[in-house]
Amino acid sequence: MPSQLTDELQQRFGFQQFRPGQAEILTALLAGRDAIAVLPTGSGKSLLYQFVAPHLTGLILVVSPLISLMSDQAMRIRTAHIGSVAVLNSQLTPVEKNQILRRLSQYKFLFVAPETLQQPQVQQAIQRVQLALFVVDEAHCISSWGPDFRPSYLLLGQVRQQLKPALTLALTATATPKVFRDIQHELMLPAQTAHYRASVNRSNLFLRLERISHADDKQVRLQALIDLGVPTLIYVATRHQAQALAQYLQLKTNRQVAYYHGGLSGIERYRIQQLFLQDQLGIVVATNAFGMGIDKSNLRLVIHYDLPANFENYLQEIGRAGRDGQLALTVIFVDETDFAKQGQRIKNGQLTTIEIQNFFAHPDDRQELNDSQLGVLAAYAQTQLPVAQVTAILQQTSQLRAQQRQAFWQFLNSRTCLRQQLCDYFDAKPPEIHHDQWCCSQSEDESLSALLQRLPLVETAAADQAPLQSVATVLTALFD
Amino acid sequence: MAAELLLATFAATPRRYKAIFYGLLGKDTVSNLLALREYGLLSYFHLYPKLSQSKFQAQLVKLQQAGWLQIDQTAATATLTTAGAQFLQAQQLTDYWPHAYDYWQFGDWQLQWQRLLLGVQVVSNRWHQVQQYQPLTESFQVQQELHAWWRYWSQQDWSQFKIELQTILSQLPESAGILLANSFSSNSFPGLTSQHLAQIQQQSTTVLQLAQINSLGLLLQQLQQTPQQWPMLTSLLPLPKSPLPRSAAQTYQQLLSGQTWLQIVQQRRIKENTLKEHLLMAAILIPTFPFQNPTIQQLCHQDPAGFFAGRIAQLQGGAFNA
Repeated sequence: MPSQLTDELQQRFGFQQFRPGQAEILTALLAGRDAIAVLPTGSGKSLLYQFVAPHLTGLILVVSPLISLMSDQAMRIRTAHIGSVAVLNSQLTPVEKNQILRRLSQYKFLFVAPETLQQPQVQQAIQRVQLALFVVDEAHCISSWGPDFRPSYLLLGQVRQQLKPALTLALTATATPKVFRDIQHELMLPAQTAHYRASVNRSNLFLRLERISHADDKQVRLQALIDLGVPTLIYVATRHQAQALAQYLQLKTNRQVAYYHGGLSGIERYRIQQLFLQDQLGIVVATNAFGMGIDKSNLRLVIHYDLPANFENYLQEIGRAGRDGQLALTVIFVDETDFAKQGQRIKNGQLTTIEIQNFFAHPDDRQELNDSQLGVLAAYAQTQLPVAQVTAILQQTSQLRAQQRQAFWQFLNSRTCLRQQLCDYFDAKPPEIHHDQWCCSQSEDESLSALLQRLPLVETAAADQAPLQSVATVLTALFD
Repeated sequence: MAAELLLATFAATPRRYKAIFYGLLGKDTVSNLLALREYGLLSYFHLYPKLSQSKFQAQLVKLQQAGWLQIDQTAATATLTTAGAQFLQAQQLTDYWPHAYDYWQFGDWQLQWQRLLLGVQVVSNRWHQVQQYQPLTESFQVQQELHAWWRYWSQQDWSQFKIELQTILSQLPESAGILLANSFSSNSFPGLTSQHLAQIQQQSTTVLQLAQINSLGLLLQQLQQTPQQWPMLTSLLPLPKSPLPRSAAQTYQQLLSGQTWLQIVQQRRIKENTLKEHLLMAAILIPTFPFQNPTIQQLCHQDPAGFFAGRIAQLQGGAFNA
């Protein structure tokens, strides 16, 4: 069977061999077993459902949390001519949505946001066609232990029971053993569900921990890092910080810098991604909005200028470096002041029981809540869970977040091998790491300048970004 | 939006700040529209569809703290102080607003912007035989429109599109033409990020965006004046047939066709007050609104002291004579 699968992979997709875990999961699905796959970001999770498409009769329904992810995946399927695709999300008008639902039997793939899938009209339309495969992408969103917990994912188990798909596939890049168990439990998957859990270890990533004692330290060390001249992604905590740091860096370097966050228009975000992918931008300073669906293979340096909220975000964000398999450096700045500020931000964002109850009683009353808090409550309101249950979930997640944050802080303050700790935290069967000079280091053990001298990071020639062009020049570039 | 720019929406007489907020956001109630019309801000309707109320309020507080705005919480109004008026004038803040773009004539600027940029991307990529690329916008509506536009013109020579674009951009003020051209993007021309464009122009990204909207407005004005000269661009950037939403436009057409109030009410099966709001919207947004129409006169006579008669009188610029 595996050799047949490999032949098919070569013929249909042009890849010589499967990435770890792909063949195991495909074999299980083709044998009629449900599956959960925990595979690292960029390891070809979407290939799994694309691969099985011609082997299954009926619709492949993919639940995905982000509009940009759905569009990206749908485009890939269309351009590779794997099958007809439709995308259902909140951006469609009712007429457009009805059009898709009426013609559902003509599609092979349907991408849908979890909130949209709750709508009776959508479920009824899916029930009228044969459902071959129910795919839950970013399945860790189902677990309140996961950092991206999304209330509407909680109802997917129930939806799955109603839709009765022939097969179910849950996909994620980050799942601790606890999150993994939650995925299986919440989706109500049978005990014999196949699973594959890749280790989170990426040997081409050098992990560096940079302890900061003065505010100026960050800027000095940042300067040394950006002087490397390699494609760089810098993560910060807030939109304001992204903008401010990008402006600061623009004064300190000749390289082109841009900031990226969820508040930018779709067109601006697209343009930044494109310029970064084409090496026309050297440095992007971003919030965690820069992530899913963006695959820049030659990213050599990821810096956490501010602390990520937890282990999961850290792992996902460093995982964007070195997708081409070449050595990449990841640096995290550890500053107690940042930790305290982060705690304050979390505290400010927490919802009280009274605020939750008031929201459900009077949804139009903003009660001095910020947009992010209102967004969370609106998402819960859509699930139609009783207010007592919502309050309990929110309280529980808030406690979990605090525990997870504490665990991450312990990691940042430990003196043992960082890679081993990451594996111990995420892997069900953590490998024993043979720590060497290509593994990880901390600022107490080795200076940053010494490290940068010895790490052979591959340089990329970054083009200067063009100045303002005349109308004639632009039109010539566009059309001649 | 920067707080200072917001100052340009206020005046030395008190203005209802909530009406300004909801107007910029794009809530088309009669009350908001009347206020915007009175303040001379009607064309800026829907300029900031994602404006957050908390941020808007925070900006008002900032302007108050700077001594430029006086806020009356009870009346929910804000007034420019003398210092605010001086600052507004000295910084020429009003000039930054997109005077050339009128929502009621040109529609949602975001849609028009996406249509223009996606149209250029699609034609440019086709020109260079690039088939696999990510469209500049994720909007399903705009993508569908572009498909239809592409199919309609598929037999035409696409160099015509370049000629139209080149001609129209050269007819705009130089700065507007250059700004629009440098906002384009395709695989053969990656373009510049707004951040970089703003940096080159020594502006904030907010001011840059307003300049882009204004330049788009200037381009649409050209299309509106001589549509036959730009067939491809005119069909890429369609202008709304009426400033009114569909249902309100229908009520207004019934009025124009000479139907009595009773006939309109019986045919539409909508609440009478809603139908009256439709007519008020038409009176606000359509310069040729027939104030002397018998049905309008009849409605005003029925309840001379009522909301409808009062607003009609206000819009006519005088009291209603019963």
